[in-house]
Amino acid sequence: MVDTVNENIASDTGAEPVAVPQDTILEVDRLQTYFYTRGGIVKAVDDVSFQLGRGETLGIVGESGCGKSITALSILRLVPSPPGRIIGGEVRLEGRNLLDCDEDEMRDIRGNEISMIFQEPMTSLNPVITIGRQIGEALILHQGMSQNEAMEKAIEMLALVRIPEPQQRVKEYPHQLSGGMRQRVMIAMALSCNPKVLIADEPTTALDVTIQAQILELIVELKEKLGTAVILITHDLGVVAETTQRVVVMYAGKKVEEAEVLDLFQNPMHPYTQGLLSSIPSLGILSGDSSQVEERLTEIPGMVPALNDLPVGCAFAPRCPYADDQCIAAYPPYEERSSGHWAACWHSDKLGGRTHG
Amino acid sequence: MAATIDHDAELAKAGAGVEGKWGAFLYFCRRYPLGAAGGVISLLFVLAAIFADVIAPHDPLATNAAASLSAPDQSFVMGADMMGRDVYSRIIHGARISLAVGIGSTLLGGLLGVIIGLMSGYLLGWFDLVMQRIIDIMQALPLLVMALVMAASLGPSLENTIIAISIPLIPQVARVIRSNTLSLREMPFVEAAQALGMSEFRIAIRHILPNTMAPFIVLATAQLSSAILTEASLSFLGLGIPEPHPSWGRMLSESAAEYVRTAPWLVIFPGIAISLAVFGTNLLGDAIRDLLDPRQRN
Amino acid sequence: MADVTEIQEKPKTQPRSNDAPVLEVDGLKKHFPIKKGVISRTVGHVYAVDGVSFSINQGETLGLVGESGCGKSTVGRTVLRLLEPTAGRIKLEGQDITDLDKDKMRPIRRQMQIIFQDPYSSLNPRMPAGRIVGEALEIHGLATGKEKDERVAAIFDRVGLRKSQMESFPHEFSGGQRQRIGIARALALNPKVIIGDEPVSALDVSIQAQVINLLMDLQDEYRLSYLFIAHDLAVVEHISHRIAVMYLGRIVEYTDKKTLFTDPQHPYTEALLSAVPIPNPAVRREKRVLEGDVPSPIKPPPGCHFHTRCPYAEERCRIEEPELKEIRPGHLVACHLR
Repeated sequence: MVDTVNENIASDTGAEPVAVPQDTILEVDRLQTYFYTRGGIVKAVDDVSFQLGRGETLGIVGESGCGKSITALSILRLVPSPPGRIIGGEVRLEGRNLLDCDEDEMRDIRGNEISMIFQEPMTSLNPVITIGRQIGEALILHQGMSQNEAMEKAIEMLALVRIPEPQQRVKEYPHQLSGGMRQRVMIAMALSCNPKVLIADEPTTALDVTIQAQILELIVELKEKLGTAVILITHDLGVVAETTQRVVVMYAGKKVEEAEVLDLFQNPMHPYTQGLLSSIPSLGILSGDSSQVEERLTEIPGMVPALNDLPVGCAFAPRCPYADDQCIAAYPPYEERSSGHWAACWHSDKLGGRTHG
Repeated sequence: MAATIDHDAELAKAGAGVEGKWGAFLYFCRRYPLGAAGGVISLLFVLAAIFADVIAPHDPLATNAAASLSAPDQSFVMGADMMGRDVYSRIIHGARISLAVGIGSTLLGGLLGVIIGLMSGYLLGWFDLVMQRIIDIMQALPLLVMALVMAASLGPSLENTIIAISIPLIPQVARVIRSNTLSLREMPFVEAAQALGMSEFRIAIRHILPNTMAPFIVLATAQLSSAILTEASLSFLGLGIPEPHPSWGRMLSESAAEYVRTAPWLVIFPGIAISLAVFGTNLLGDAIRDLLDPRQRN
Repeated sequence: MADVTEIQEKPKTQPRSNDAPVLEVDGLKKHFPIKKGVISRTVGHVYAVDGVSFSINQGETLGLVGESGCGKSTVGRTVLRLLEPTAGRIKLEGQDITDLDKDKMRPIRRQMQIIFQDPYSSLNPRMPAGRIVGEALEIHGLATGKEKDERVAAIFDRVGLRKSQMESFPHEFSGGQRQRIGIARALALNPKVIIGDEPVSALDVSIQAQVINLLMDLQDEYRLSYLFIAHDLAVVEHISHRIAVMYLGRIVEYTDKKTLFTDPQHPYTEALLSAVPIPNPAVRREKRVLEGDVPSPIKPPPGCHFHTRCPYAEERCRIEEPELKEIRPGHLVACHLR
């Protein structure tokens, strides 16, 4: 009896990893993360799939509560539990399903193979430990470096993220640094183990525009230098337009659209994406389109539905100008509408081109 | 990992489907069973205090030489003391005293503490400076000793006991309310009230005070048990509730030395009453603290 | 005063520049003392606002932009006299309100209101929405009882809330709805000037447009003047008529919207515009990324505050403080090089 069980396990682990195209590094497949709360089941991430290519920058866009951050936390298995549970799907890093890993294996992956930077550079750093030690911690843990080696590497990393006087700065505490500098330290920390994937969750939202420009430039530059694949989570369509190659749009826990960035902005196939693009004021004078500057903005009426009380059909239907009975009755299939451009909408074919203003 | 998950069980654990006051109450009982037990114990004491005249089989003050020191039996469930007074009836009536002292001192100390804390935190300036130093001094004094001195100087009576016990509470409440007020006065909704031209007094009462009530309630429930215990201690030392009123502390002190061997029921039952009352209110207080702690909410 | 026919003939969004300004601010300074030790010795100052002047006409929106710590929010609060100005004058409809005491200030407060950034902390969580809005009417003795409820209901209707929501508490509303309650509170007293302190920055993208449109409609309807404080240049571009750019407590450039965006003269404005990501991947601009951080307002650099980050800085910029001067009619710039 015991033997057979062992054999089973052996054959399980020895099984061939799922065949992955060479250039894909991370695959999220039908991921479902639910939260069990007093208000009912909150379907924070529901049936979300995407692939991340080697060295690619993928943007995940959506408003607060659309599930973009929970998707990131689910990849790293950092969803607070209770109340959250990953109840379905797979997250494959080079073919290996992270949802089957035990806690020890996960610890070895976090910060080493996949790292994450967060929105709040103030609270993401430990205030009582010098930044050198904080960067070194991951190196000692994952790369087995000695204290001195880790410190050397920390200085090197600080120089890489262009912090002036890195030899001095490694000895300083987070409160001695400005917000922008702290975010640089976070990036140095995240990249110190040379991860395959970097998840940046609203990395510049708490920063000023001029500092945001610095940080985004840095992320793009380092990505190219180190070949790291980046998932950039943000609500800012401007950041997405300037930084990413491919974009996933999420609404109410589901992925509603995915396309190459230019294709998405010029030819949105989902009314939500279309609505978002036309509702943001967008420095019209600079981008050569001053037509909308004086006018009313196009509104998306209504508000985001509660995730614990989603309709049967399309979650966007109550706010959608194209909605009809079909949209209310059934959730639209997620289909490829044109080459590399996927959307979940019954009426994608009616959404020709970008309707602006 | 993604094995079958029982949605309903997970939801029940999280407290979904809770509706109305009754539902919320049931959810509280399931989520904080100890708190609910504390609530039941506290409720029993409150009921005993309110309906003492109905529940108690005997007059707690009536002496009966024939029944002096009689062991627990059918007519005296918990026995009788030296003067033949029914211990059970005295404990039930003693709940009144404990409750009166507990609630009375908490309200009195709380009220003064809230006023001082609110004024300190909102007015700041010299008032705050002076008040903070006074409070520092008050907190530096040992609590029980202070109550002892107060009780001794004021003389033993119910009112004086309440006053004596309420005083150490003032600085505690004032501290909590002040720090809350300090952070609340920086909130935009207070600024909005100022921008509307609202008077300082109105802002303090309508906008700040209601928002300090959650921490105050936590503190007050926690204080209830310590007030009951302090009253028992004071009465035990002869400085609390005077004769012939049945205070649990006094009941203990009267009998502890002389009768603990010959008539142990005179010590055991009041002792149990004190412990149970303190234990019950403590459990309830802890549960309320958890419940009102914003970090506990989802 | 106002010529009625003229109001109707003019396009709605255009300000009437020939009017006397509703709000005038002249040389406003706000320095916060930094205190240390038991006896609260003042060991320095935060030079949050250091000599700011501007004016707003009726029906006009002045955008006040800058990065965090530039003092733009402090300007808003000082103008409202929620903070006491260290120096400078504030005039509302020609009346100097800088030194009015609390009692004299009260009737003035009806003319000037504020909308805050955070729709969560700007509403008292223990007060129902209807009372939050009605309180303003009550304390100014404008309406009580049934009349008050009716007026609150009318305002609720105007900002897009339902009358039945008057009894609900703030936590029962979404972020956008809460911001509408905040707007209703500001509107209740029928003010002339509304100061918006980043009123849409905390809102979701799809809700921002709703609130911006509401603010613009209300401006047309009541001829409100806005001081619109924000860091988001795209939003400011959309809503403002004129824009003032602040850096470390001072206005560095001050002109009408079109000029600012097409012909920025101050190097900081230039950098700010270049840093804003444009939501159009087809547009590829050359970025001028500023080096370094904003210096601390406790020790602002001497001379031009911007010289530490300015790519064109010269010797003079490090020593001499540039004046905000008119380089063209209606275009003010504080830079030695212009």
